[in-house]
Amino acid sequence: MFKQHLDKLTRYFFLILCAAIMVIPFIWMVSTSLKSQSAINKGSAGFLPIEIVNYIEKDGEKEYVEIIEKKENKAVVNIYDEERKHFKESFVEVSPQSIKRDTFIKFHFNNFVEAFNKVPFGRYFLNTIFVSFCVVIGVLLTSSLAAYAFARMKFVGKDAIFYLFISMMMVPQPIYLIPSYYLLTKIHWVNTFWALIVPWIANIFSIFLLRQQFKTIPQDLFDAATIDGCTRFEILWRIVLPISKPVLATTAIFALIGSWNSFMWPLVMTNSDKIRVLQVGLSYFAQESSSSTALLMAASTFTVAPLIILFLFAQKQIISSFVSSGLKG
Amino acid sequence: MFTNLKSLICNSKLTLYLFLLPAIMMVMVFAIYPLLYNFSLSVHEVTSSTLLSEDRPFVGLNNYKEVILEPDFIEILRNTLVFSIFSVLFQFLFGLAFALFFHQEFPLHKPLRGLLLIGWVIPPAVIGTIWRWLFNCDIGVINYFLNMIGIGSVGWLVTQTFAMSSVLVANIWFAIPFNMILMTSGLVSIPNSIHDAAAIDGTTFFQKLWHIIIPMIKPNIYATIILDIIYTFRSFPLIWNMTKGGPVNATTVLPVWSYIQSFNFFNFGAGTAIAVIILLLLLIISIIYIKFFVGKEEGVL
Repeated sequence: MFKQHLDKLTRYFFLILCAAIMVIPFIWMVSTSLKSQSAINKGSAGFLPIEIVNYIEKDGEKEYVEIIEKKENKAVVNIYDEERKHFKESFVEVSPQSIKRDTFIKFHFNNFVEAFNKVPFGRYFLNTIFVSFCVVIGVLLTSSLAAYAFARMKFVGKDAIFYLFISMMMVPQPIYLIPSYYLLTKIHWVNTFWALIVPWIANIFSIFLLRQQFKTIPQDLFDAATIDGCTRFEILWRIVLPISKPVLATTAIFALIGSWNSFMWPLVMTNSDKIRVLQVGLSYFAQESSSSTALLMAASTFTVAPLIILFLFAQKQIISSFVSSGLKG
Repeated sequence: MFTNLKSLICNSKLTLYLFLLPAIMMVMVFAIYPLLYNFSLSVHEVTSSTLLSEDRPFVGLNNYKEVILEPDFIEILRNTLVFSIFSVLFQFLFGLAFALFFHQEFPLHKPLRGLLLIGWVIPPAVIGTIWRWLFNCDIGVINYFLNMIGIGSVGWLVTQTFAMSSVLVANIWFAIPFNMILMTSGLVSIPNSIHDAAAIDGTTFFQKLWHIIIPMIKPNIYATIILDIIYTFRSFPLIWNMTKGGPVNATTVLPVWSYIQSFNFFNFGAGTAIAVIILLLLLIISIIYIKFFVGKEEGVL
C-alpha cells in the first residue's frame, strides 16, 4: 500500500519536473515581457513583476527615487517622474531616514506597445503573413497534384523520381543557399517577395504526406468515377481532395509553420526593411536592443503567439497525422 | 463524342505532365540545380565581385584545401560533431522518456502533453533569443539562481569553456517536443492488448520497455534518429541568435562557418566548399548509421 503511494508520488514528481522543464522558459519569456527593465536589471527570477522601489515623502506625496549614495547622515538620490522612466531631479540630498521602501506588483503591458513601435513589427507581421499564406496555397496546389500523380498514375520512372525527391529531403539547407542567392540575383528576385515565396512552394515532405494518404483511398472509388466520365482533374477535385481534408489541413499547418519560422533563407535573400519577415526582424531587434530585455521578450512573445494559438487549436490533428503519416516502415 | 475527346485529352499523358510539372520544375530549379551548381562554385574562386560575373577562375580543389588547412577547421569540425552527437543522443532519450511518461493514463495527461509539445512550433530564432537571455551573465535567470545558492555567476555564453554546453542545452531542449511527438506516434500504435498481456505476466516496467515497447516502435526510432541527425546538421538559427558562433570559434559549427565565410567574408568559394563538406559528412554518418543500426531488413522512411 505504501509502496503504491510512493510509486504514484514519484510519477507525479517526474510529471511536474518534465512539465516544468519544458514550460518554464516560456513562462519566463512572458513574465519578463511584463516587467520593468529596472526590475530585470536588479536581477529577479520570479514570475510576477514585483518591483521594489524607494520613495520619499515630499509635501505629503510619494516621490520615487533612485539612491545614488547612502551614508549614515546623508543620502543623495535622483527623483523619478511619475512614470518612473526619467528623472525629474538629479542629485538631491535627503536625509537617509526619510527613504522608505515600497513593494508592489505592476504589469508593464506597455512593453508590448513600445516594442511593437520601436521597429516596424507591424510591417514584419504583414510580410510574414503574406509570405506564409502564399507558400501554403502554393504547397497545397503543387503537392496535391504531384502526390496524386505519384500515388495513382502509372508512368516510366515513377519510383526513381519519387526516391530522388525523398533523398533530396536529406540535403542540408546551407548547400542551397549560395547557388540560390546567385540564381535569384540573376533573375532580380533578391529583395523581393518572389524570393521568399516561389522557391518554397514545392515541398517534398508535403508531397510525401499527401501521397501516403492518397494511396489509402480504395481503387473502387476511382473506377466508379472513371466510369461516370470524370477526368483526372475532376477526380482529384471532387473526390480525392474532399475526403483528404484532414491531411490537407496538416500539410497546410506544416507548411505554415515552416514558412513562419524560416530564418536563414530570408536573412540571406532580403536586406531591406520593407520586405523583412518577423524572424529576421526579431533577430535584428535583439542585436540592436540587447539591453532592453523586457522589450525583447515582449517582441518574442508576440512573434510566437499566433503559432501557439494555431497549435493549441490543431494539436489533435497534428499528432494524429504523425501517427498515420507512415513515418514508420 | 465530346466526352470522349475530353476524356482522351484529360486522361492522356498530357494530364500526367500537368500534374507533375509544377512540382518537378520547382524541385529542379530550386533544389537540384542549386545542389549541382554548388559543386561547381566550390571548385572555382568565387568572391563578391566574381559571384555574379561568369569568369570565375577554376581552382580545382583549392577551396577545399584552403578550408581544411584553415587552423580553425579541426575545432569547427569537432564542434559540429560534439554538437550533433550530444544533441541527437539527448534529445532522443529525453523525447522517448517524455513520450513514455505522457503515454500513461493520469488526469489531464492529454492537455499537459499538448502543452509540452508547444515548443515544436516555436521558431528557433525565438528559442535562441530566450535562451540567450536565460544564460545572460549579468541578469540571466540561471545565474540568478546560481548566485542564490552561492555558486556565483558563470559566463555561460561568453566563455569558451561553457558556450558549447549552453548552446547544447538550448538545442536539446528545443528538439525534445519534436522527438516526443514522433515517439508518441509510435507508442499509440501499440495495441492495448499487448500492454494487458504484459501486465498479466507481471513484467516490470523496464522489462516491458526493453522487450516489448522498443522492438515494436523500432521503425519510429530509426526514422526519428535519422531526422534528428539531418536537422541537427543544418542547425543555424539557434546558434546564430545565441552566440553567432562565438566566443572566438567555440560554438561555430559547419553551417555557421559556411554562412560567415560567404556573407561576412564574401568568400563564396570557401562557403560552398564547406556546404559540400556538410553534405558529405551527413551522407557518411547516415550510411554508417543505417548500416550498423538499422540493418538490411528495414528501410527508413
